[in-house]
Amino acid sequence: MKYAIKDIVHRLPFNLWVLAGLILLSVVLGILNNFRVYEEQRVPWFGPAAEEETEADADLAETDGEAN
Amino acid sequence: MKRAIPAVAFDILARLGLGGLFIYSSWYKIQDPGLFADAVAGYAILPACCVGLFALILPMLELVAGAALIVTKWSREAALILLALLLSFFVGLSQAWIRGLEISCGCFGPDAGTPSPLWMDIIRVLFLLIPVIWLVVRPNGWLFPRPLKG
Repeated sequence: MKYAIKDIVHRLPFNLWVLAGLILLSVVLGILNNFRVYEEQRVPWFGPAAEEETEADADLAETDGEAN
Repeated sequence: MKRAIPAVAFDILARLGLGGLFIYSSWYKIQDPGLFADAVAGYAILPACCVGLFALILPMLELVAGAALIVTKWSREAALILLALLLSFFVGLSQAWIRGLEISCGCFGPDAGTPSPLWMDIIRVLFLLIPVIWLVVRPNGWLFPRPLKG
């Protein structure tokens, strides 16, 4: 089994380790970028930014309605 | 073995052009991931849980692959990543066009004024596939191959 996987990796027309390295580097840099940017530019790790905004707007509208 | 001059010239042009284009297009997405996440959500193709992570990782993939295409000798691996990205763009744009979604591409930044029609973006993606596929089938090597001494 071990040799079979090695054989497949050697037969690939590209370097699998380089490919994995480039992808891993992108993932790490992407995650670090979310810490770098200003708070209003950040995205929630799981979920769209737009949905969060919509919920926040709905909460705000509800509060306004109660106040009136 | 001598490499044909037109092929080498096309290699250099394709690598500089694609690398520069992808670095440029990644820039605004890296500067403002929130804005790009909104653009991704507009496509209504990804589940809500994945939009945030996708919006963070995709621009970095563009930047890393674009830079790798220019400054490293692993052009084939970088081109393979760009091929996967372009195919995903093609699927995303095509489904938005077929469903009649009124969104802007979000490829090079938020559109000021009227967004370009989606079919034009699809044609652009198909056009970009030509040099990317060329680089995937070409052997690895530095951007400017050094002449042999002696």
